Amino acid sequence: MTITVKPAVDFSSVEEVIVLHTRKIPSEVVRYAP
Amino acid sequence: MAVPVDVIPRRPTLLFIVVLLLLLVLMSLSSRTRYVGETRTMFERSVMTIFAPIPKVVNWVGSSASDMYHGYLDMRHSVQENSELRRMVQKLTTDNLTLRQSEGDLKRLRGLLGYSEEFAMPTTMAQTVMLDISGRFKSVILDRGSSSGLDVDDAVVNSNGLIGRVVLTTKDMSKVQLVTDSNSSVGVLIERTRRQGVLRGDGLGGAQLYDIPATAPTSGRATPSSPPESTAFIRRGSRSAWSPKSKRDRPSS
Repeated sequence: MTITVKPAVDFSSVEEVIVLHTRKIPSEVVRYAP
Repeated sequence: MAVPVDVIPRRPTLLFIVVLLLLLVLMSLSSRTRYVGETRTMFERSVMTIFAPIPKVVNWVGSSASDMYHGYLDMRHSVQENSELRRMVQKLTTDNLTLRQSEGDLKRLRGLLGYSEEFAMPTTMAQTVMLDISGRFKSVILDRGSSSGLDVDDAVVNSNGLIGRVVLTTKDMSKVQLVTDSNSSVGVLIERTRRQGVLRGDGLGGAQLYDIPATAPTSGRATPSSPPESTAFIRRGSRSAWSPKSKRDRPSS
């Protein structure tokens, strides 16, 4: 089956980003609540 | 025949005497015309009646001239003050916009800094210098490169979630492939069912979650009304920043 997903990031307004020096994405990426 | 001016004899003494006599005559006339109980004589009254408008006119002219002069000075001052106030308003408007922009930047950077402190691993903050999301290939150019420790396949995130991965680095710049790129694939799993799948960008600003087993009980969870249950995760237990938008499209055979 295929599920269509919508990104949580608005890519058109990305200005500053954080580059993680790893290939493995940590769980904080979702757990963080700004 | 006119007599030259130099020939006419000057007699100031005679003129003085004539004026004195005239004054005596006027005084005697005044004393005769004073009524009983009056403080002014008829002569004085006549003189005052005749010459009374003159001080009024002189006073009016003087006050008008003074008012015009002061009005002119006030107008000049007002024009200058208005010009200064306009300049000040423009400067304050510019400062206000700058401060609002700085406030927004400060909030965003503060949030990003707090977010970066959540990670135990080394991180690098970078700024986008070019954003290409119009075509099918979605990418971002960052202002940091290998000199800042960036390497290929490094994950790129912001406070909203996963953005993509580094696919190319130079000394001072790097290129990031967005997760919405049509060539992007990320291993994910569904939080509730722990079913694994692959998230591929559709090149249109969204993504598709593939390779989900048809028997996986995703119905009723992959709906907008229940996003927490249907959040997609990166394989190996790491979470991604994606939440399903719609439901099952078509069951695989």
